[in-house]
Amino acid sequence: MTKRAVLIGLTVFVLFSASASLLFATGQGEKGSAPSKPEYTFYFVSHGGPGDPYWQAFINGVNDSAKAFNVKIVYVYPQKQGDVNELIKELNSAIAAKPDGIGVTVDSEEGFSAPLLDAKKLGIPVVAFDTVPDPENPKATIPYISYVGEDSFTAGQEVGRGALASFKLAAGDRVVVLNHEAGNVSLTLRTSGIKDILSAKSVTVDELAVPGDDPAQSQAVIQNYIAKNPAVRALISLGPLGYLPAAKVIENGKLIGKVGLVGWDITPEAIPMIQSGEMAFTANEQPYYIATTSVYLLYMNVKYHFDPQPLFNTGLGKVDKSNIDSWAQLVKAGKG
Amino acid sequence: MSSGEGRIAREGARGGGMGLLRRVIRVPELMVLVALLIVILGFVIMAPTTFLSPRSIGAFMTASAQLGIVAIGAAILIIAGEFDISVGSNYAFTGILIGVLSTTAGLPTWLAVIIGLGVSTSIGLVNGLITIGARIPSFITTLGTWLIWYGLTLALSKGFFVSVRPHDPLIAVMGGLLGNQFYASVFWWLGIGIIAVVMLGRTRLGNWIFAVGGNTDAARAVGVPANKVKMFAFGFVGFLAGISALFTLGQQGAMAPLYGQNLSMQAIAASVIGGCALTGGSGSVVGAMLGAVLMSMINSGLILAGAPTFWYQTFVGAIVIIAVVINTAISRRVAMMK
Repeated sequence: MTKRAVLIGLTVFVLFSASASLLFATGQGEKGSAPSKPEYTFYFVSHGGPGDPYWQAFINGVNDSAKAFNVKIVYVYPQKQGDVNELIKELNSAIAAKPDGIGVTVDSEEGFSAPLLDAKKLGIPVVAFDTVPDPENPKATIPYISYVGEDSFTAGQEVGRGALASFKLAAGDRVVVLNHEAGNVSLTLRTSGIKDILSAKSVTVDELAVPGDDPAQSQAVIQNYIAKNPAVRALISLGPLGYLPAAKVIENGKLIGKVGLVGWDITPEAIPMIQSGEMAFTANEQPYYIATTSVYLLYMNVKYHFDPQPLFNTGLGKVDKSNIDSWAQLVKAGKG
Repeated sequence: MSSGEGRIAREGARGGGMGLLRRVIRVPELMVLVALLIVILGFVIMAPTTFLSPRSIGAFMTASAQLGIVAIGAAILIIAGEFDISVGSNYAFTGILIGVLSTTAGLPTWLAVIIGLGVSTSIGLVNGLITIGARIPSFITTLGTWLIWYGLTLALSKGFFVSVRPHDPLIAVMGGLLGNQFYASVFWWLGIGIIAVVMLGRTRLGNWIFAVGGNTDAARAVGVPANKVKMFAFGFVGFLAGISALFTLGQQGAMAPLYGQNLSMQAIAASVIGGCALTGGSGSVVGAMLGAVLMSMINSGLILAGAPTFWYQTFVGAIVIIAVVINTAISRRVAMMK
């Protein structure tokens, strides 16, 4: 066999693999769509895509809802998670397609105002999901019929209260918030909510940025933080990319029972940690629930012109020892 | 002896009469060694009781191993005149593949590991075949394959973490905890580093890698099998991306599809800080390993000094620029001394 033949063979293999993957991914999407002609077309424009367990559960919810309501859903997301400029371009493209409805993560007021006002002019109803600048005070400049998702500040407060109770925190104690995506507005609001509750009890709250894509470096950062601050009582991770390395630090340092752990979002890896008591609880934004509710609200608005409530807060869920078994089943089904 | 030193020794023997100054400034690790000393001194002053504690050393050496094992391969590939920016996707794909094969598919772990390392090496070889066969820049080839393998990683994992069997002995041997502070990955990294240093500094293949990276046509003209040499370098960095994935599986027990997104750039940064010239033909494995240590040490040191970790990227970015400026100045100086 000549070198050229080997080259051609390998190139074909790579391209075939890529195509197979695309077909596989497309097939997954179509599996969620109804077999008959879809009644409506909705675009979902999200700052998160597959690759993050949270967003995968959300996508599963979108696909299941598309099938349940016989609608076509086009799900678009930036190649780099959190790339707001790309997200705005995709939102503009979605509006240009003139769909029957749009779901979107609203990452800022500035960039999203103009396209959302355009959508309103065109009569396209918009449901905001997962992220808006201020869920409790929607503004006319960023028009949407309803926000479905976590009210990150109140969710942070809830986690702060949970940490106080779980670890019996008192004045002078210290906890650290692990942020795997520094700069994300929702994560900043969660941290503010945690601080709001704990600071009122004179508990010191530090923030620590951990590189979400590098578990070894994250582990080193957390380990060194504990070495620097041996009196730390609890680690609060704002997502799974932080709590897995945090758990390793606690296990390896034989700190179970000395340093508490709280997470955000539920993954298969969190289940044994909660069952064993290593993790007190994980806050749960309930992405599958956000997705199905967003599609439902859009559908009811487009078909029957029902006006939904402006805020549908899904972020007060908590998974702990009391309900971990039922959540384990949901996680296994890709709905966690 | 570093690969760079090995090359200098050979050139010194050929040229004869090379001055001590010329020998010293041509050591590719010089800049990173000086930077390491400054950083260590700075952090010892800022965090005197904790920075050089066994716990701290264990933490930054473990992080160094994860990055440094890939930096070894990246450095050799850069010396050979090529890049691979797909190693991060390769790393995540291999980790996910080993996890899926050993759990969902039920294969024995040893077989899953062999298949995984075979695939990671093949990914590197495919990069080499496309680059050499189609005569396109490796940056473009690996930009494309980075996206291809990232997409396949998402398809294979369905977006979720993939775990390996808990307490699997083979995975533990690769990346488990030894004692209280150090992971096995540190020793594997050092061992593979020594092999790479000897290969680059003491063997004909090492000589060929420098020759091909310095001037491919000239190397080919004197009988160096340039394409095979480059293929080796591509395959080797792919293999090491697979080893790095094993480290993560041993350490974390799971692989996430988002892991490794910045690994390629960090490995290139470590190589450049360690004295590799992006034009090829010059560099050092020891330098790249020290570059990885420096980057991890800065991250750990900032925490221990009580500084916000947001400064990490700023520090590393500044050091990359300083390293290139100094290395370029040294190259000019050496050229003037000829």
